[in-house]
Amino acid sequence: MLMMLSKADTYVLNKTTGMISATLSPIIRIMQFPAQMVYLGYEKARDIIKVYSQNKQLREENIKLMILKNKVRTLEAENRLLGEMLNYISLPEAAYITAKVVAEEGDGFSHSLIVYVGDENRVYKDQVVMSDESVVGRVENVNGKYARVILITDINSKIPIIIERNRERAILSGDNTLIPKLLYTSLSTDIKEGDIVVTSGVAGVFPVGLPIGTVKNISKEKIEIVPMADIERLEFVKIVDYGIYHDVMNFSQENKEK
Amino acid sequence: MDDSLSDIICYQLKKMLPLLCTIVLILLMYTPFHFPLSKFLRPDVAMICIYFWTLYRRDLFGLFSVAFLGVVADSLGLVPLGVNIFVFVVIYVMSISYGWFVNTKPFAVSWTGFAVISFAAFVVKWFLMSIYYSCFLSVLGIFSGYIVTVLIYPLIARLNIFVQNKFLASDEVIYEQR
Repeated sequence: MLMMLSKADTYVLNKTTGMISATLSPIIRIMQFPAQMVYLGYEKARDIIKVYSQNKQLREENIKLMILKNKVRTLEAENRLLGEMLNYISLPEAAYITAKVVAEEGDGFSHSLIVYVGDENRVYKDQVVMSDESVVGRVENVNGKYARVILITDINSKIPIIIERNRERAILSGDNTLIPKLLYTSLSTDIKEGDIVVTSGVAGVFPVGLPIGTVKNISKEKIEIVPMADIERLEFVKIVDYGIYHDVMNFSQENKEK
Repeated sequence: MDDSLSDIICYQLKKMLPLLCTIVLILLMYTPFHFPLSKFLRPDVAMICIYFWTLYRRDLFGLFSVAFLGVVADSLGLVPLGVNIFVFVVIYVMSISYGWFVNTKPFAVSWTGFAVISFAAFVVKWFLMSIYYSCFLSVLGIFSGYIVTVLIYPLIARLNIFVQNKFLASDEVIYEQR
Protein backbone atom coordinates (compact mmCIF):
# COMPACT_ATOMS: atom_id res chain seq x y z
CA MET A 1 0.00 0.00 0.00
CA LEU A 2 2.86 2.34 0.90
CA MET A 3 4.44 1.57 -2.48
CA MET A 4 1.26 2.55 -4.30
CA LEU A 5 0.99 5.73 -2.23
CA SER A 6 4.58 6.68 -3.01
CA LYS A 7 3.86 6.09 -6.72
CA ALA A 8 1.08 8.67 -6.40
CA ASP A 9 3.74 11.15 -5.20
CA THR A 10 1.92 11.96 -1.97
CA TYR A 11 3.13 15.17 -0.37
CA VAL A 12 2.99 13.86 3.20
CA LEU A 13 5.03 10.72 2.41
CA ASN A 14 7.62 12.70 0.47
CA LYS A 15 7.87 15.23 3.26
CA THR A 16 8.26 12.50 5.91
CA THR A 17 10.94 10.54 4.04
CA GLY A 18 12.64 13.82 3.14
CA MET A 19 12.71 14.82 6.79
CA ILE A 20 14.28 11.51 7.85
CA SER A 21 16.81 11.77 5.04
CA ALA A 22 17.67 15.37 6.02
CA THR A 23 18.12 14.30 9.67
CA LEU A 24 20.43 11.40 8.85
CA SER A 25 22.46 13.08 6.09
CA PRO A 26 24.59 15.19 8.50
CA ILE A 27 25.52 11.99 10.37
CA ILE A 28 26.64 10.33 7.12
CA ARG A 29 28.58 13.53 6.36
CA ILE A 30 30.48 13.21 9.64
CA MET A 31 30.97 9.47 9.23
CA GLN A 32 32.56 9.85 5.82
CA PHE A 33 35.60 11.75 7.16
CA PRO A 34 37.71 8.65 7.98
CA ALA A 35 36.86 7.08 4.61
CA GLN A 36 37.66 10.42 2.97
CA MET A 37 41.09 10.48 4.63
CA VAL A 38 41.89 6.96 3.39
CA TYR A 39 40.73 7.88 -0.09
CA LEU A 40 42.75 11.11 -0.12
CA GLY A 41 45.88 9.20 0.92
CA TYR A 42 45.31 6.69 -1.84
CA GLU A 43 44.72 9.46 -4.40
CA LYS A 44 47.87 11.28 -3.28
CA ALA A 45 50.02 8.15 -3.64
CA ARG A 46 48.52 7.44 -7.05
CA ASP A 47 49.14 11.04 -8.19
CA ILE A 48 52.79 10.90 -7.11
CA ILE A 49 53.35 7.71 -9.06
CA LYS A 50 51.71 9.12 -12.16
CA VAL A 51 53.06 12.68 -12.01
CA TYR A 52 55.72 12.43 -14.76
CA SER A 53 53.59 10.68 -17.35
CA GLN A 54 50.67 12.97 -16.51
CA ASN A 55 52.83 16.05 -16.92
CA LYS A 56 53.93 14.98 -20.39
CA GLN A 57 50.34 14.19 -21.35
CA LEU A 58 49.11 17.55 -20.05
CA ARG A 59 51.74 19.47 -22.06
CA GLU A 60 50.57 17.77 -25.24
CA GLU A 61 46.94 18.39 -24.31
CA ASN A 62 47.70 22.03 -23.59
CA ILE A 63 49.09 22.59 -27.09
CA LYS A 64 45.95 21.04 -28.59
CA LEU A 65 43.72 23.15 -26.34
CA MET A 66 45.51 26.38 -27.32
CA ILE A 67 44.78 25.65 -30.97
CA LEU A 68 41.19 24.76 -30.09
CA LYS A 69 40.81 27.95 -28.03
CA ASN A 70 41.68 30.10 -31.04
CA LYS A 71 39.21 28.17 -33.18
CA VAL A 72 36.45 28.56 -30.57
CA ARG A 73 37.10 32.31 -30.32
CA THR A 74 36.73 32.68 -34.08
CA LEU A 75 33.57 30.55 -34.12
CA GLU A 76 32.09 32.50 -31.20
CA ALA A 77 32.62 35.77 -33.00
CA GLU A 78 31.11 34.34 -36.17
CA ASN A 79 28.18 32.91 -34.24
CA ARG A 80 27.50 36.24 -32.51
CA LEU A 81 27.59 38.05 -35.82
CA LEU A 82 25.21 35.60 -37.50
CA GLY A 83 22.93 35.71 -34.43
CA GLU A 84 22.75 39.49 -34.65
CA MET A 85 21.95 39.29 -38.36
CA LEU A 86 19.09 36.84 -37.69
CA ASN A 87 17.83 38.63 -34.54
CA TYR A 88 18.42 35.42 -32.56
CA ILE A 89 17.62 35.58 -28.85
CA SER A 90 20.14 33.45 -26.99
CA LEU A 91 19.48 31.53 -23.76
CA PRO A 92 20.51 33.22 -20.50
CA GLU A 93 23.94 32.49 -19.07
CA ALA A 94 24.00 29.59 -16.64
CA ALA A 95 24.61 30.14 -12.94
CA TYR A 96 25.68 27.22 -10.83
CA ILE A 97 26.60 26.14 -7.34
CA THR A 98 29.08 23.43 -6.50
CA ALA A 99 27.78 20.84 -4.06
CA LYS A 100 29.67 18.17 -2.16
CA VAL A 101 28.49 14.58 -2.41
CA VAL A 102 27.57 13.51 1.11
CA ALA A 103 26.00 10.13 0.54
CA GLU A 104 25.90 7.76 -2.35
CA GLU A 105 23.25 5.16 -2.90
CA GLY A 106 24.14 2.57 -5.43
CA ASP A 107 23.14 -1.01 -5.96
CA GLY A 108 21.09 -2.94 -8.43
CA PHE A 109 17.93 -1.22 -7.18
CA SER A 110 18.65 2.50 -7.46
CA HIS A 111 21.36 5.07 -8.19
CA SER A 112 21.23 8.38 -6.38
CA LEU A 113 23.30 10.89 -4.44
CA ILE A 114 22.65 13.14 -1.49
CA VAL A 115 24.51 16.44 -1.85
CA TYR A 116 25.04 19.33 0.56
CA VAL A 117 23.60 22.49 -0.93
CA GLY A 118 23.68 24.81 2.07
CA ASP A 119 21.06 27.48 1.63
CA GLU A 120 17.93 25.63 0.57
CA ASN A 121 16.48 28.48 -1.47
CA ARG A 122 19.19 28.23 -4.11
CA VAL A 123 18.27 24.78 -5.36
CA TYR A 124 14.94 23.47 -6.63
CA LYS A 125 13.47 20.27 -8.02
CA ASP A 126 14.51 19.21 -11.55
CA GLN A 127 17.61 21.39 -11.73
CA VAL A 128 20.37 19.98 -13.93
CA VAL A 129 23.27 18.34 -12.11
CA MET A 130 26.61 18.16 -13.92
CA SER A 131 30.10 16.93 -13.33
CA ASP A 132 32.93 19.02 -14.78
CA GLU A 133 32.08 18.04 -18.30
CA SER A 134 28.65 16.49 -18.63
CA VAL A 135 25.18 15.85 -17.23
CA VAL A 136 25.06 13.32 -14.39
CA GLY A 137 21.48 13.71 -13.20
CA ARG A 138 18.79 16.01 -11.89
CA VAL A 139 17.62 17.21 -8.50
CA GLU A 140 14.78 15.03 -7.23
CA ASN A 141 14.00 16.92 -4.04
CA VAL A 142 15.49 19.37 -1.58
CA ASN A 143 15.27 18.71 2.16
CA GLY A 144 16.75 21.46 4.28
CA LYS A 145 20.39 21.85 3.38
CA TYR A 146 20.53 18.59 1.44
CA ALA A 147 19.28 17.64 -2.00
CA ARG A 148 18.72 14.24 -3.52
CA VAL A 149 20.04 13.76 -7.04
CA ILE A 150 18.74 11.06 -9.39
CA LEU A 151 21.65 9.87 -11.52
CA ILE A 152 21.23 9.29 -15.27
CA THR A 153 21.88 5.59 -14.63
CA ASP A 154 18.88 5.24 -12.30
CA ILE A 155 15.76 3.53 -13.59
CA ASN A 156 13.72 6.68 -12.83
CA SER A 157 15.85 8.79 -15.18
CA LYS A 158 14.40 9.48 -18.65
CA ILE A 159 16.08 12.30 -20.58
CA PRO A 160 15.10 13.50 -24.04
CA ILE A 161 18.28 13.59 -26.13
CA ILE A 162 19.54 14.19 -29.64
CA ILE A 163 22.51 12.69 -31.41
CA GLU A 164 24.82 15.65 -31.97
CA ARG A 165 25.93 14.54 -35.45
CA ASN A 166 22.53 14.06 -37.14
CA ARG A 167 20.02 15.58 -34.68
CA GLU A 168 18.24 12.23 -34.30
CA ARG A 169 15.91 12.26 -31.28
CA ALA A 170 15.50 9.59 -28.61
CA ILE A 171 15.07 9.09 -24.87
CA LEU A 172 18.01 8.16 -22.69
CA SER A 173 16.81 5.74 -20.06
CA GLY A 174 18.69 4.49 -17.01
CA ASP A 175 18.26 0.88 -15.96
CA ASN A 176 20.29 0.70 -12.72
CA THR A 177 23.40 -0.42 -14.59
CA LEU A 178 26.32 1.91 -15.36
CA ILE A 179 25.38 2.01 -19.05
CA PRO A 180 22.06 3.73 -19.82
CA LYS A 181 20.18 2.81 -23.00
CA LEU A 182 18.44 4.72 -25.79
CA LEU A 183 14.68 4.26 -26.18
CA TYR A 184 12.32 5.18 -29.01
CA THR A 185 14.87 5.38 -31.79
CA SER A 186 13.51 4.95 -35.31
CA LEU A 187 14.22 1.71 -37.17
CA SER A 188 16.04 3.53 -39.94
CA THR A 189 18.16 5.43 -37.49
CA ASP A 190 21.69 6.40 -38.50
CA ILE A 191 23.46 6.18 -35.15
CA LYS A 192 27.10 5.13 -35.10
CA GLU A 193 29.46 4.12 -32.33
CA GLY A 194 31.28 7.15 -30.95
CA ASP A 195 28.42 9.59 -31.67
CA ILE A 196 27.99 12.16 -28.94
CA VAL A 197 24.64 12.32 -27.17
CA VAL A 198 23.41 15.73 -25.93
CA THR A 199 20.21 16.93 -24.28
CA SER A 200 17.45 17.93 -26.69
CA GLY A 201 15.72 20.42 -24.42
CA VAL A 202 12.31 18.84 -25.01
CA ALA A 203 10.08 18.92 -21.87
CA GLY A 204 11.90 21.93 -20.50
CA VAL A 205 13.84 20.27 -17.69
CA PHE A 206 17.21 20.19 -19.42
CA PRO A 207 18.44 22.96 -21.70
CA VAL A 208 19.53 22.12 -25.25
CA GLY A 209 22.97 20.78 -26.07
CA LEU A 210 24.41 19.61 -22.75
CA PRO A 211 26.72 16.65 -23.35
CA ILE A 212 25.78 13.36 -21.68
CA GLY A 213 27.78 10.53 -23.20
CA THR A 214 28.88 8.65 -26.28
CA VAL A 215 27.29 5.77 -28.16
CA LYS A 216 29.08 2.53 -27.37
CA ASN A 217 27.27 -0.62 -28.43
CA ILE A 218 24.63 -0.80 -31.10
CA SER A 219 22.58 -3.94 -31.49
CA LYS A 220 19.05 -4.76 -32.63
CA GLU A 221 17.81 -4.83 -29.03
CA LYS A 222 19.54 -1.79 -27.58
CA ILE A 223 21.83 1.16 -28.07
CA GLU A 224 24.15 1.69 -25.10
CA ILE A 225 25.50 5.05 -24.02
CA VAL A 226 28.64 5.46 -21.93
CA PRO A 227 28.33 8.54 -19.69
CA MET A 228 31.13 11.08 -20.14
CA ALA A 229 31.31 11.63 -16.39
CA ASP A 230 32.79 9.05 -14.07
CA ILE A 231 29.55 8.36 -12.22
CA GLU A 232 31.29 6.18 -9.63
CA ARG A 233 33.75 8.85 -8.53
CA LEU A 234 31.67 11.96 -8.06
CA GLU A 235 32.99 14.02 -5.18
CA PHE A 236 31.55 17.37 -6.18
CA VAL A 237 28.78 18.18 -8.62
CA LYS A 238 27.58 21.40 -10.23
CA ILE A 239 23.91 22.23 -9.82
CA VAL A 240 23.17 24.41 -12.76
CA ASP A 241 20.49 27.07 -13.01
CA TYR A 242 19.76 28.19 -16.56
CA GLY A 243 16.90 30.35 -15.38
CA ILE A 244 14.58 28.75 -17.92
CA TYR A 245 12.89 26.17 -15.72
CA HIS A 246 10.42 28.54 -14.06
CA ASP A 247 9.73 30.28 -17.38
CA VAL A 248 8.96 26.96 -19.10
CA MET A 249 6.78 25.80 -16.19
CA ASN A 250 4.89 29.10 -16.12
CA PHE A 251 4.44 28.93 -19.88
CA SER A 252 3.01 25.40 -19.79
CA GLN A 253 0.81 26.33 -16.81
CA GLU A 254 -0.59 29.32 -18.68
CA ASN A 255 -1.25 27.14 -21.73
CA LYS A 256 -3.09 24.59 -19.56
CA GLU A 257 -5.27 27.33 -18.07
CA LYS A 258 -6.15 28.60 -21.54
CA MET B 1 17.07 9.39 42.11
CA ASP B 2 19.84 10.33 39.69
CA ASP B 3 21.26 6.85 39.92
CA SER B 4 17.98 5.24 39.13
CA LEU B 5 17.41 7.67 36.24
CA SER B 6 20.84 6.94 34.81
CA ASP B 7 20.16 3.24 35.28
CA ILE B 8 16.91 3.54 33.37
CA ILE B 9 18.62 5.48 30.56
CA CYS B 10 21.45 2.95 30.51
CA TYR B 11 18.99 0.07 30.40
CA GLN B 12 16.96 1.65 27.60
CA LEU B 13 20.12 2.40 25.60
CA LYS B 14 21.23 -1.19 26.05
CA LYS B 15 17.88 -2.36 24.78
CA MET B 16 18.24 -0.14 21.75
CA LEU B 17 21.85 -1.05 21.06
CA PRO B 18 21.17 -3.61 18.29
CA LEU B 19 18.92 -1.11 16.52
CA LEU B 20 21.42 1.75 16.93
CA CYS B 21 24.32 -0.42 15.69
CA THR B 22 22.31 -1.40 12.64
CA ILE B 23 21.44 2.24 11.87
CA VAL B 24 25.12 3.22 12.15
CA LEU B 25 26.09 0.40 9.77
CA ILE B 26 23.36 1.42 7.30
CA LEU B 27 24.61 5.03 7.36
CA LEU B 28 28.17 3.80 6.85
CA MET B 29 27.10 2.01 3.70
CA TYR B 30 25.95 5.33 2.24
CA THR B 31 29.44 6.80 2.51
CA PRO B 32 30.83 7.60 -0.95
CA PHE B 33 33.69 5.14 -1.59
CA HIS B 34 34.84 6.39 -5.03
CA PHE B 35 36.23 3.09 -6.21
CA PRO B 36 35.33 1.28 -9.43
CA LEU B 37 32.11 -0.76 -9.35
CA SER B 38 31.30 0.63 -5.90
CA LYS B 39 27.74 0.99 -7.15
CA PHE B 40 27.36 -2.78 -7.26
CA LEU B 41 29.56 -3.87 -4.40
CA ARG B 42 27.60 -2.37 -1.55
CA PRO B 43 26.37 -5.01 0.85
CA ASP B 44 22.91 -4.78 2.37
CA VAL B 45 24.10 -4.72 5.99
CA ALA B 46 20.58 -4.19 7.28
CA MET B 47 19.64 -7.68 6.10
CA ILE B 48 22.63 -9.16 7.94
CA CYS B 49 21.83 -7.32 11.17
CA ILE B 50 18.13 -8.18 11.07
CA TYR B 51 18.95 -11.86 10.53
CA PHE B 52 21.61 -11.88 13.25
CA TRP B 53 19.71 -10.02 15.97
CA THR B 54 16.46 -11.86 15.25
CA LEU B 55 18.27 -15.17 15.62
CA TYR B 56 20.19 -14.37 18.78
CA ARG B 57 18.49 -11.47 20.59
CA ARG B 58 14.87 -11.39 19.55
CA ASP B 59 14.00 -9.87 22.93
CA LEU B 60 15.88 -6.68 21.93
CA PHE B 61 15.02 -6.65 18.26
CA GLY B 62 11.31 -6.82 17.55
CA LEU B 63 9.08 -6.11 14.62
CA PHE B 64 9.03 -2.40 15.47
CA SER B 65 12.82 -2.20 15.11
CA VAL B 66 12.63 -4.02 11.79
CA ALA B 67 9.91 -1.72 10.45
CA PHE B 68 11.82 1.34 11.69
CA LEU B 69 14.96 0.18 9.86
CA GLY B 70 12.83 -0.26 6.75
CA VAL B 71 11.60 3.33 7.00
CA VAL B 72 15.20 4.56 7.46
CA ALA B 73 16.46 2.56 4.45
CA ASP B 74 13.53 3.69 2.30
CA SER B 75 14.02 7.33 3.27
CA LEU B 76 17.74 7.37 2.58
CA GLY B 77 17.46 5.54 -0.71
CA LEU B 78 15.48 6.10 -3.85
CA VAL B 79 13.49 2.88 -3.68
CA PRO B 80 9.72 3.32 -3.27
CA LEU B 81 8.58 3.68 0.32
CA GLY B 82 7.51 0.31 1.67
CA VAL B 83 9.84 -1.94 -0.32
CA ASN B 84 12.56 -2.21 2.32
CA ILE B 85 10.00 -2.37 5.13
CA PHE B 86 8.36 -5.37 3.44
CA VAL B 87 11.67 -7.08 2.62
CA PHE B 88 12.99 -6.61 6.16
CA VAL B 89 9.78 -8.02 7.62
CA VAL B 90 10.14 -11.02 5.28
CA ILE B 91 13.66 -11.64 6.64
CA TYR B 92 12.40 -11.21 10.21
CA VAL B 93 9.56 -13.70 9.72
CA MET B 94 11.82 -16.22 7.94
CA SER B 95 14.50 -15.88 10.63
CA ILE B 96 11.93 -16.59 13.32
CA SER B 97 10.40 -19.46 11.40
CA TYR B 98 13.62 -21.23 10.41
CA GLY B 99 16.05 -19.78 12.94
CA TRP B 100 15.62 -22.71 15.36
CA PHE B 101 17.35 -24.89 12.76
CA VAL B 102 20.58 -22.84 12.71
CA ASN B 103 20.57 -21.32 16.18
CA THR B 104 22.77 -23.79 18.01
CA LYS B 105 24.69 -25.04 15.00
CA PRO B 106 28.24 -24.03 13.94
CA PHE B 107 28.82 -20.64 12.35
CA ALA B 108 28.97 -22.08 8.82
CA VAL B 109 25.38 -23.33 9.17
CA SER B 110 24.18 -19.91 10.30
CA TRP B 111 26.04 -18.37 7.35
CA THR B 112 24.41 -20.82 4.94
CA GLY B 113 21.05 -20.02 6.52
CA PHE B 114 21.66 -16.35 5.88
CA ALA B 115 22.65 -17.05 2.27
CA VAL B 116 19.31 -18.82 1.70
CA ILE B 117 17.14 -16.27 3.51
CA SER B 118 18.87 -13.25 1.95
CA PHE B 119 18.51 -14.84 -1.50
CA ALA B 120 14.77 -15.05 -0.93
CA ALA B 121 14.80 -11.43 0.31
CA PHE B 122 16.68 -10.19 -2.76
CA VAL B 123 14.27 -12.05 -5.05
CA VAL B 124 11.28 -10.51 -3.22
CA LYS B 125 12.84 -7.03 -3.51
CA TRP B 126 13.62 -7.53 -7.19
CA PHE B 127 10.06 -8.75 -7.80
CA LEU B 128 8.46 -5.81 -5.95
CA MET B 129 10.65 -3.27 -7.75
CA SER B 130 9.96 -4.91 -11.11
CA ILE B 131 6.23 -4.65 -10.48
CA TYR B 132 6.58 -1.04 -9.38
CA TYR B 133 8.52 -0.01 -12.48
CA SER B 134 6.61 -2.41 -14.78
CA CYS B 135 9.84 -3.86 -16.16
CA PHE B 136 12.34 -6.46 -15.06
CA LEU B 137 15.35 -4.91 -13.34
CA SER B 138 18.82 -5.94 -14.43
CA VAL B 139 19.68 -9.09 -12.48
CA LEU B 140 23.47 -8.74 -12.71
CA GLY B 141 23.80 -5.71 -10.39
CA ILE B 142 21.37 -7.21 -7.89
CA PHE B 143 23.14 -10.56 -7.92
CA SER B 144 26.54 -8.92 -7.29
CA GLY B 145 24.95 -7.06 -4.36
CA TYR B 146 23.68 -10.37 -3.01
CA ILE B 147 27.09 -12.05 -3.33
CA VAL B 148 28.84 -9.17 -1.52
CA THR B 149 26.19 -9.23 1.21
CA VAL B 150 26.70 -12.96 1.77
CA LEU B 151 30.50 -12.64 1.67
CA ILE B 152 30.60 -9.82 4.20
CA TYR B 153 28.27 -11.65 6.61
CA PRO B 154 31.10 -13.07 8.81
CA LEU B 155 32.57 -9.60 9.32
CA ILE B 156 29.29 -7.95 10.30
CA ALA B 157 28.33 -10.98 12.39
CA ARG B 158 31.66 -10.74 14.27
CA LEU B 159 30.98 -7.06 14.91
CA ASN B 160 27.52 -7.88 16.23
CA ILE B 161 28.93 -10.71 18.36
CA PHE B 162 31.39 -8.21 19.84
CA VAL B 163 28.54 -5.82 20.72
CA GLN B 164 26.56 -8.71 22.18
CA ASN B 165 29.42 -10.04 24.31
CA LYS B 166 30.69 -6.65 25.43
CA PHE B 167 27.45 -4.89 26.30
CA LEU B 168 24.54 -7.30 26.25
CA ALA B 169 25.84 -10.62 27.52
CA SER B 170 24.69 -10.04 31.12
CA ASP B 171 20.96 -9.94 30.36
CA GLU B 172 20.82 -12.59 27.68
CA VAL B 173 17.57 -14.46 27.14
CA ILE B 174 18.07 -17.98 25.92
CA TYR B 175 15.27 -19.06 23.62
CA GLU B 176 13.79 -22.45 24.07
CA GLN B 177 14.92 -24.72 21.28
CA ARG B 178 12.21 -26.45 19.31
